[in-house]
Amino acid sequence: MDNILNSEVRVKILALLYGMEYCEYNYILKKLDTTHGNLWSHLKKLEKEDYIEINKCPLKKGVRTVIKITNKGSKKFREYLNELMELSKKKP
Amino acid sequence: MEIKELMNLILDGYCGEDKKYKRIVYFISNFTSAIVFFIIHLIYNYYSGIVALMFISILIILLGAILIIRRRKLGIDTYSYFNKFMSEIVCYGLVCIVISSISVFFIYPSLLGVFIGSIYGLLMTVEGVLFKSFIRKFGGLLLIFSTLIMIIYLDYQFLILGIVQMIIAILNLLNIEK
Repeated sequence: MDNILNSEVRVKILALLYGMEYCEYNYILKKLDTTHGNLWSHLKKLEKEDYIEINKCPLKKGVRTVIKITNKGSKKFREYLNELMELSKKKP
Repeated sequence: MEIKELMNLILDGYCGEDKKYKRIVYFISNFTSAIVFFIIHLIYNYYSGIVALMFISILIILLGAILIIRRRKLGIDTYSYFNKFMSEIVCYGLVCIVISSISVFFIYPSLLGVFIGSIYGLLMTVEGVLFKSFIRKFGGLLLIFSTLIMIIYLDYQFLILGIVQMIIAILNLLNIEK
């Protein structure tokens, strides 16, 4: 399995983004019920490996952070899911 | 981490939506269309100044469109694949409403409101199912069942349609869902 997918939070981020065109940072924060710092560090790792794209759009009040899964991220997550399914089938 | 938990997250992603955005947009569109239906009812039953009333209807539709575009410019927080599919379904649904309205208008004009109500109700129910929204499922069913009353009181069909739309608009504003 991929090293980047060793973390539960990163897998959850990809699972959430898998069925989406894009979503806002706060949506993931709310859904995963984690801290801002923790989520941000995992997002940065995923971005570094080209699994996701992070775009910042300036608004009148603050900045809007939009996150999108890449084709590579989708492919890797699908592979991970298939492996997980195979493993669960093998369990007695 | 269990596979079930992961699958639930994937499903959450697929039906994810910007609830605040949708609530406002649905309120605006239902409210404006309710007013338009009230005006059409007046045109049908009471007034002869059709041109003036049609002008008001167009103005109200434009007002609703401007408000939705303005809200859209602020940006949608979440855009899932179901949102994408639904946009396409709504496009085809609107084509269906326009074409069937033209057909019904020429064959049996008094059933126009019934047709619009049932197709619009179906579209709303489909969206309710996709996004697990009770209000939209309920609103869609309300629209579909209201067509039965419209058939009984054909002269008041647009008034009934307007009242149902207004009820759905208020339900959207009340924010019953989490």
